[in-house]
Amino acid sequence: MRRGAPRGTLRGLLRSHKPQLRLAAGGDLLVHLNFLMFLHRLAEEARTNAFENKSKTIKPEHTIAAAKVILKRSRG
Amino acid sequence: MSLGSVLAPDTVEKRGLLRRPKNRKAIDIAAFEGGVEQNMQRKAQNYLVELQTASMIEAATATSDAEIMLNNTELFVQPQSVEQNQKKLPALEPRLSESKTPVQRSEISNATQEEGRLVGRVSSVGTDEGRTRRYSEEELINDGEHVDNMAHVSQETSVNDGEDEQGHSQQSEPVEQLSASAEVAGTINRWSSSLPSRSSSRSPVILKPRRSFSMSLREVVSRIIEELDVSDKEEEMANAVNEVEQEEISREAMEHHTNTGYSEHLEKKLTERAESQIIMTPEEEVVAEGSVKHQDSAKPEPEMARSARAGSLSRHSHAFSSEKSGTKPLEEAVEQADELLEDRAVMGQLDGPEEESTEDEVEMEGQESEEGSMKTPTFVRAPAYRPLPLLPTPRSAKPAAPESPLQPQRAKPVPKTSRKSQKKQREPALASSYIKQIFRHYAKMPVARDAYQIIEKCCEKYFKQLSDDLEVYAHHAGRKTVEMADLELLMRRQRLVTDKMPLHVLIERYLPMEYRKLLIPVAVSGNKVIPSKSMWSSGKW
Repeated sequence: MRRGAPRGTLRGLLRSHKPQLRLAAGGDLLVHLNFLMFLHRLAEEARTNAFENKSKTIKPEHTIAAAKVILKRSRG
Repeated sequence: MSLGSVLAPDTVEKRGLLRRPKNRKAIDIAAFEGGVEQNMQRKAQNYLVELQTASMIEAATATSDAEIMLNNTELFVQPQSVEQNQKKLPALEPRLSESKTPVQRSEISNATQEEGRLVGRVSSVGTDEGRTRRYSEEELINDGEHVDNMAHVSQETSVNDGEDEQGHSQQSEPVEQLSASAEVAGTINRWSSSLPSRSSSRSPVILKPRRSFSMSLREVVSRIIEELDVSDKEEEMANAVNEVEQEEISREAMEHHTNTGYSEHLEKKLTERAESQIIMTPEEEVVAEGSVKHQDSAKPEPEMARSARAGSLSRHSHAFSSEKSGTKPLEEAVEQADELLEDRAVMGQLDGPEEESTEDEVEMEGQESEEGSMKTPTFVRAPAYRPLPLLPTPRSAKPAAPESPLQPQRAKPVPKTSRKSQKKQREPALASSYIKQIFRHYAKMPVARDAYQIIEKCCEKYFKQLSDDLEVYAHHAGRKTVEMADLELLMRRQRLVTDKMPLHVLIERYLPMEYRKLLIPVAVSGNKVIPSKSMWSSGKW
């Protein structure tokens, strides 16, 4: 990560979805952590799909398939 | 010496072991059969209770010896005149509604007797409990008598079990059903056989000729007879059947307008059952023909239901000797043509008293039983439909994706194309370049440009899911603020944090140093913890 965590943006995102919900002091950092891990998993899954298709680049279809799986898993 | 001591206990043990099986075998068959019969009869009684109506009075006179014995064993005296029956008819109705089981028992026992007797008995016996007990006693007696017949019945029981379940929605235990069916069949047989006697003994009050009902009753009776034909039925069975029929008739009277389709359905079922059942004797065939003729009657429904149940009961009750005894006398006493005629006559007669006695309560019972019978077959037929797929409520992440447009208009209720720029300011969106950067770093592979669009959509969906989850967690904890614990719980549920992978390790791995310091409390010298968790910072005080 070259840049820092967009804390303000994260808070704004959460507020847009759930305006009545508050966030603790370090909460957005953990949210950021969660987000990073989510992207990580997504990238891994997309990479695996691309490998299975013997492709050197990640294509949209790979990411779509990966997204389905990862989104379902990260429902909590 | 040692050997001797060792041997002695062994021999003793062996003897004990050998003894046990012998005793069991001796007891099992007889006791089991008796118990089974008892259960069957109880079931039949219960079954009959449902169907009961005031018309029960019309119970067929006991023609067989077994019936006579049954009647004699009853505690309440038979000689109660028809007058009593007439008087008690109105009394019966409330009683029927009040306690079904006792009436059933009384009816079952009285099925063979004239209707008047039944009514008298019912009324005479104040305590329903007593009746049930007595009936059970009678059943026991009958069971013992028909132990011999068990062998024949056992074969049929297997078939009947399946049918009974369909017929009896109310009775959960198959044994009970069998007993009930046996009783019903027996009563029906008795009833059909005792038709001529009934007609003579009928009281004028009871007579209410209703051809429609008679037809339906007759059909029911015929069907029941068919089914019961193979097995001998005791008096109780006949009584039960009669009572059942009576109830059906009364119900029909009350429910003229009810479903013809239902009756037809029932008829079909009965036909199916009859076919699948035991051998069709000539009587049965004739009866079937007769019943088929009357299928057109508008009100075969309750009858059909009843007859179906009776048939199923009868089949199942084959295992019970009581059924056999009941059917035997019936077959012998009534020939095919006679049975049909008798059934008709009985039907008409039964309709009269039944109609009178039937009340809403009785109808309710009948309806319930009918509905139950109806429901059970449909259920049995289509078990597949029952288990509705318990689909987990999947989050509409995908549909939300297209809905949640990249355009910020969706977030605001008053979106306008001119305010797109303003909207963007208001609606926070993660910088796409940021996402790209992170993703590229994690993928370690060249990523197509189109893929980023998908990733962006995924992120939006993900944040939506995240906010929902956090809200739920905070609400579950009774808080309005999302705390660290909520986030850790979320990560645990996502299997990111496990017992092997604590949260701190993840923090150290993924987040830059400055954030780590903020998140992970570190103790430094001087009794200091960074970040400080003082009272004022936590805001709880």
